[in-house]
Amino acid sequence: MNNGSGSVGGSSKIELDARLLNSLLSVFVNQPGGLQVQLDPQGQLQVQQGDLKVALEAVTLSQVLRLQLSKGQLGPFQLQVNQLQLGPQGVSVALQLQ
Amino acid sequence: MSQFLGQCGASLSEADLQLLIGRFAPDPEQVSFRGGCFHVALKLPMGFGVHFVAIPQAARDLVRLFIPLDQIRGDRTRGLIGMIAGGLWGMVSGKIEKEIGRTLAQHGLPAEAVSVEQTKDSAGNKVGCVDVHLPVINQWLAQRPGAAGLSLGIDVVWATESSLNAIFNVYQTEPLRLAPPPTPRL
Repeated sequence: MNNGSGSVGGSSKIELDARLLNSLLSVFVNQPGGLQVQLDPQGQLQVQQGDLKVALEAVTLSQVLRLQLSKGQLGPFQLQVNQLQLGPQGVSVALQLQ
Repeated sequence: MSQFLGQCGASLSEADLQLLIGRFAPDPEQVSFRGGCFHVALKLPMGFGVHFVAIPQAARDLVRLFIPLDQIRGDRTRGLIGMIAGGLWGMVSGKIEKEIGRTLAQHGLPAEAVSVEQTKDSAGNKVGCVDVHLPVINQWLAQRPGAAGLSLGIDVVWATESSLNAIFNVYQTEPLRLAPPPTPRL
């Protein structure tokens, strides 16, 4: 986890390190004998089901996404996702609250 | 037995933190975050208000908020409060303790989670000090039911000029009960 990183360009940021990302994939996505998704040390997202293998290379998506978020008394919030980055370190999402 | 899954970091920009303070602080006009510091306004029992700066610093197992006593200002008394602020620290700290105690009790947090004291900074100036004890907060967090069997612990909190940042440890507290995968349709 990068201790020196702060917000960039006025955006807030959420980062999941590679270990956490792989743990969450193991807990929530991967099925014994079925779908397997893992981030490898080169930052490639490896997806495997049976003999089908797909590798998604490290990627930065700068398409703006807007999400509405509401939970109980929290919200409603509008989240604007400015950038999503997948790489060897894990995944990083730059966003703004509105 | 909880299992460590990894770490996640969150960095809140000044604007986003201000938005959250506006939504969730009991009295949003009392607190703002600018230039890496919290700016706090308090009404004292004597009837006048003071405002002061609280500078967050990361320390081992602590988030420490330094309050320079010579920067405490009064809203009606101009420089007077600043001049005698050192002497007024007892009253200001009493008010801070009361507000913090009320907030902790509201959320079921133990009183030991936050302590208030007076000390000196590296230059020898008197400063107020509000210490948030992370092990106590983490113990409280570990006892709360987390979403989807996950719980968080705070590893470190620090501020930059434009953001407030934290790193969290993520744990799995209970085995996940996944629904069986859907049967493929032919």
